[in-house]
Amino acid sequence: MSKLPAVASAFTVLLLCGCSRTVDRYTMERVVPQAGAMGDVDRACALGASMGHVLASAGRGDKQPHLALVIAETTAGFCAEGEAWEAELEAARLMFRGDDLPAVQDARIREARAHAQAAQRFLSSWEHLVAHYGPVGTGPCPELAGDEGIVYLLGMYAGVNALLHDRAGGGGLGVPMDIPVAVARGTECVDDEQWWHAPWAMRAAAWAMVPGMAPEGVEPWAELEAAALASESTGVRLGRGLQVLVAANAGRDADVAHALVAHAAANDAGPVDSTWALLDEYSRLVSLHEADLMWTAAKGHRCADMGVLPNAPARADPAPDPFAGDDPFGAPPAPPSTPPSDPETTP
Amino acid sequence: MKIRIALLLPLLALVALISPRAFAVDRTLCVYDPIGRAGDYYRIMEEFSVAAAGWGVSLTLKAYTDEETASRDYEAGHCDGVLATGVRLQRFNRFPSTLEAMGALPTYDHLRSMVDAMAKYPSAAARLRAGDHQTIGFIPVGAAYLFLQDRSRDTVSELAGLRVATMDYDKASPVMVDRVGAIRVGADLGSLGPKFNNGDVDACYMSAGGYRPFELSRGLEPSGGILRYPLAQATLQLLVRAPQFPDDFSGESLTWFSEHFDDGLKLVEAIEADIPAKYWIDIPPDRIAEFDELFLQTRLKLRDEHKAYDTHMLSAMRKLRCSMDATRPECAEGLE
Repeated sequence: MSKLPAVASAFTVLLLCGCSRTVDRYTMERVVPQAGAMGDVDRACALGASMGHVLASAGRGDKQPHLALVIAETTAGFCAEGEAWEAELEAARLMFRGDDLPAVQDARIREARAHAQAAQRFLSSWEHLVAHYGPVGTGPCPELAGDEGIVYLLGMYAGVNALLHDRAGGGGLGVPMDIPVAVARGTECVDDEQWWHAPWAMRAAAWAMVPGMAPEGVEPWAELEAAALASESTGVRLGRGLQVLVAANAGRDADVAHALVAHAAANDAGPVDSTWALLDEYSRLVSLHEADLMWTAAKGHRCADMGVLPNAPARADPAPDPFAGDDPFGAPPAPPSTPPSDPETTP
Repeated sequence: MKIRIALLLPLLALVALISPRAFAVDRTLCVYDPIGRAGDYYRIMEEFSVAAAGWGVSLTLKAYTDEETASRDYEAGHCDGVLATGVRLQRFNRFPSTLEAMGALPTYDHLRSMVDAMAKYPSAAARLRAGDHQTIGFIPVGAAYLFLQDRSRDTVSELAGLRVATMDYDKASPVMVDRVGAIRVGADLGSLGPKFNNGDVDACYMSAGGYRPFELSRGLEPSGGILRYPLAQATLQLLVRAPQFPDDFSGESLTWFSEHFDDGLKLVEAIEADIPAKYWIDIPPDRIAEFDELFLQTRLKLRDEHKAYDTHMLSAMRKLRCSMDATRPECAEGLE
């Protein structure tokens, strides 16, 4: 049975003390390990969505439990992101059928609203990150104690994701377009080995998003593939998820197809980091959504297997043809018949 | 059990027969959006695809973040239409790309009027087709402005000697740069930002949309500025292979984009408003004439010597400018 209700109760007690640092510490030491080890994104997002306001109430003015709120707002963003994905799939499904255009429009509007809500939550996470550590990607790196690297990483991911969801949702929030540039530099502050090469993948993804941002001589997409590959054996394949997300956004179909197949194979074969199963599962859902979208556009339904593409070539014919020549299931060949005698020649 | 399945099979076959996809035509569009599938222009195209479905055409959209690849894929026949900037599509038809002529449309109201006119008048619609290629939509993506590292050099004569980054595929800007006595420095979208920010060039031109992604504030500090007078009106244009679409599709499409012009404009205005006011340089009204004259002479040269601009489009834009302000000196001269 989950310990989350107990965690929530303990939280309530902590909040009464009104000390943001205590809430931050409790979140990092107790909540994050609990939720992180649980590969259930739905429950993590529900917890984040429900705790956001409660956590915010623990602080006064600038002294808010920013670390806890980075985590809560990011995971809350996962809920709205999931709703946007479902609406996007519904629109694609209805477009495939093509017989109910108002329903397509309705699904698109629902999708845009969910994107806007996801953007709001992810942006809030980014803002708490900046409020706690200062501007990302400028000046010296902040000191990241213990597992704070994950907070920094999630906050940066939330920043880039806020931008993408805001644009997809109509741009109502005006999320700053320079976040990817800042994140590319900010990833240098997080230990790459410790965090499954996700900082490397995130940096390459940011480079791929903005032309000319990568250092001279560096090809961002090749770099992203290298980082994604490196993530496969770590147990948290965030690199592959990021690759699928960014390549799909840029319309790089071949990269998406390769990354989906690789991600599925790595999930089947690779280890799982039980401490951070949540993020591995989230990465899988990112890729799964893209596979679902491809299948729905092509066939009108989701994928049954993330690693099988809708336009995958048919399996090659077995060679040589085992049925060539005599029919192995047919009647046994008749014995050679003696030629009928010619009555006229018969003596 | 086997009997039940056997009974169901004809039913399933019937369902397959009565639920075919409802479209007469399936087509693919290559859609350039610098942000990709999550971008604003891709979203506008998704809305367009719903409208197109109502006209019997199912559109599959393919996102591109690289404009050149999108137009190349169109040329190679990988898609039936492409959304790209006018300057990039110039080689298919000069008439619509001339909408982006240097200084030809000083305000977004001018641009809106031109887009409306092309949707309304058959004389314009006929010129939107060149061979099999037909332009069937325009989305405003923002005026191109001159970004300067030294805001004090804001007159035409003071542009002389400046190193100006010019896009490799743009025929127009080098002519203007030469005309003012500035120095051309070749660049592409990837190198333009770094060149400006590192001081390799003194000026570059770009829509406001490039300000944040390329961190152009770094190049603008400490004493730079942006001339608030459009060098050109950048547009995304939808170009299709006309024979692949129903006859009335282009008319429906031009009208749809004309009616949705303000969707694109709102995005542009929000992005321009995001640039800190301190960077904008307003040209005093008495000095605007010198920029207009520079632009006019540049356009004439590009029309007559480089054959880069279309005569009919230039003429239509002059008529529009003069209908909105008859006191312009060019209205008496009639050079376009």
